Amino acid sequence: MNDPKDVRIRLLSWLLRSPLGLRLVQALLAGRPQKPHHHVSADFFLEMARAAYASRTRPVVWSNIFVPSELFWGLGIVPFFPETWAGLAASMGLSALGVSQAAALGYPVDLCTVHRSAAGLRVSRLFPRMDAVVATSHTCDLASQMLSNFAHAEGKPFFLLDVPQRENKEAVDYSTAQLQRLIEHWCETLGIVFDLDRLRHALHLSNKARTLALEVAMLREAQPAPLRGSGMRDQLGMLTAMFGHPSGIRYYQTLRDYTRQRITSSQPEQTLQRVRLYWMHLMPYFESELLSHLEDDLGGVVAWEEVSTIWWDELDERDPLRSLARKMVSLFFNGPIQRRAEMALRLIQRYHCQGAIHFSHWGCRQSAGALHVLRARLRQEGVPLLILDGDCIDPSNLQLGPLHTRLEAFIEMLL
Amino acid sequence: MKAYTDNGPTVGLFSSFVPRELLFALGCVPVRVFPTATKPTLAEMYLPRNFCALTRNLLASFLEEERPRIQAVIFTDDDDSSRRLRDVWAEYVPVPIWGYLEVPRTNDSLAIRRFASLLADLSREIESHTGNKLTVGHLRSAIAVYNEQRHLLESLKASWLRGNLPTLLYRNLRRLALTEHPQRANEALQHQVNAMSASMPSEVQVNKATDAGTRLLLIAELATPTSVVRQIESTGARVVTEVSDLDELSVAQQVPEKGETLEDLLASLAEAHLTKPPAPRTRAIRRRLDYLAQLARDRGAHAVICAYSKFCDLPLAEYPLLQAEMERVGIPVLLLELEDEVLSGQHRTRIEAFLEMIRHK
Ligand code: SF4
Repeated sequence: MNDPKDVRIRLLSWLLRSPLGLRLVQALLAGRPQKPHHHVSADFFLEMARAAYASRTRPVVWSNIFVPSELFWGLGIVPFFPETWAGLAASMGLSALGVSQAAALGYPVDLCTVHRSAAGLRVSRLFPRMDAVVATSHTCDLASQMLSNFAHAEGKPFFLLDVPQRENKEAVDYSTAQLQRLIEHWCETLGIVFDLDRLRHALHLSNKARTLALEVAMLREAQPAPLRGSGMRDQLGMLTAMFGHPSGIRYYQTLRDYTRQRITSSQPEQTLQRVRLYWMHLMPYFESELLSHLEDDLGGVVAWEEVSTIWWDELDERDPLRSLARKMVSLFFNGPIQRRAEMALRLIQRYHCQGAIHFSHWGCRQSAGALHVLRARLRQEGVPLLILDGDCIDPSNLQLGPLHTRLEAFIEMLL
Repeated sequence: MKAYTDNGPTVGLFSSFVPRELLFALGCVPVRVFPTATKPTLAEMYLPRNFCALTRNLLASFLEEERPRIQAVIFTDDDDSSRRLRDVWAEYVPVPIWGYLEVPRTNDSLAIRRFASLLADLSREIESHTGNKLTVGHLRSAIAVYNEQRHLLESLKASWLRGNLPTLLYRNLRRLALTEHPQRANEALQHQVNAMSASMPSEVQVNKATDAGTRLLLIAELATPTSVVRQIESTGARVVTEVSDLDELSVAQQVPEKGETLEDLLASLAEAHLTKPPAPRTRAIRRRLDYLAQLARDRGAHAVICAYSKFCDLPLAEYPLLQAEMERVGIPVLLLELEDEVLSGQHRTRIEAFLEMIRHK
């Protein structure tokens, strides 16, 4: 199914763009045995899909995942995150299509597959319309470069939020001023009307979801771990899209209740639990034996994932743009590697982890570039770090044999 | 001024966005760092193998050197590679980091103001290391030195474009300007300018020289490897412009020296650096493509060669659009992803075939 002319791709493209098709998908998903919070997230993403693909009432702005989602919801804009949807497509077995189409466009194979896949899915018409594009400059070079490419290809306005590396007052001032300009730019180009109360309300919803998400984080300190780490591989998508939308509250409420129930009924999702681990960076988005081998065969428990971490402070509803600016600047992937390392050490201690695993997604320079420093810092505190090279989008780039062997040796060493 | 700076520390730079004027005014000799390692082997202990080849080579160069000529370095946040290089550098390279300059990616009034204030912060950091104070007088003189250098380089470029200066010599002079004490470099450049005007060829010779062969536009990050330029010109083709930090991506315009206060002068430096021709890091793809297309037209380029470092994300991700834009106006493009200065047999063959193809077009 590597050809956009393939009848299945055309059918999927039609399904996404048709209100009827989306209702059909929703009905199918509702009937599937899922955890309660997955119903909430499925409904949320389908609602987003409906607004982005099938409806024309609100503008659709493509964005990287680190533009605060509260901004979109608070301005009545539908965000579309190609990175998240590339992950979703990978979970549906569509990576090969995206990657092969990106190669046909001329993208070199050494670039991160998240973005290559997104580029390919876009030309395959699996992505929705685009009215404007925004990207932050921080954390991932490719995200903003590719988004600017997409905007250029479709002749749409592109706005770059230049996010500083240092976290200080001047950086927040500068980012706040840019957010202000961004809103003016959207009022002009998209014809939206800025309503401060609406934005404040989005921050209010975000804060409520944040409190619930923090409760989930607290519940997950429990031993045995109530949840499987592999089941949390979608967390980055939730963390970067749902805040500011009412679904965020529903999602974390449901997840909290589910987690609590697993604890009170003494029914952890993972039965064999021998070693507690901290997982760094992403996990394969597609079904793979890597995680099941770790969890079910070796008893490795992913007690916490780096990308599930609520990194920002409570947002000040009285000063929304400043709060969102601070949220961008304070991201743990931003700035020097020490920020990530110190957060890792805090979380390793909090979740009683005996070791850490870094999944080095192929082509991700920002996350893998300073692993030597990260490993040395963790070692200083007596925490061993295993680095697994793989690909979270493209299953053909995940060499299970050698990875299993390394996992086995690592768990053995920790026991 | 000269006596003041001659014994100053040599400070290495990795980016064309750091105003050298500022460091020179603070008694340092700012030099651009070029890789000297033949292979990035030593760097592979610290950086992943699929990491920007130029960055790995730069790190390897410092790890190899027993007594580096450079006493300190300044980092910028140009891209993911430079950010991670700084993390590794801080731990494993025995050359201290004297500053970390964040460079805005946009160039509106907000960005220029911010950059000027970050330059002021950087100058305070350097002051704490050198003990020298930044003054209006010193900064003005430093700007004048680099303005003179820009003027000389423009004059040499004109000679090169007329065919009076061989490409390799012209590139060596540009490199010298980036890597030597600026006043000494200016003397050498002036000497060359004088030599050129003493032996000015006739107009007829000039035209013959410029019209011969295929004309190429090169695009690279720091500089196109000399081996690529040599091979191109050995076939009779001619490089007519190089969009890299070595040449077109450096600040070419004169920076106003007249500011009354340090703030004025820093604002001028900030503006000159943020408004120089766009590099991929600005994500201003339309501006960049327009700029490249215009340059190709102005210099009558027949083809483009992108000599990029392997695994260098920003230019590689921009490439498909650049290729499409150039081919739309009938200019073919060749992409080379290079590991180091040495050209592999495969790369040689590709260059040869590309030039052959253009000749027969
Ligand atoms: S994996 Fe790395 S390079 Fe790829 S999208 Fe994420 S941050 Fe960017």
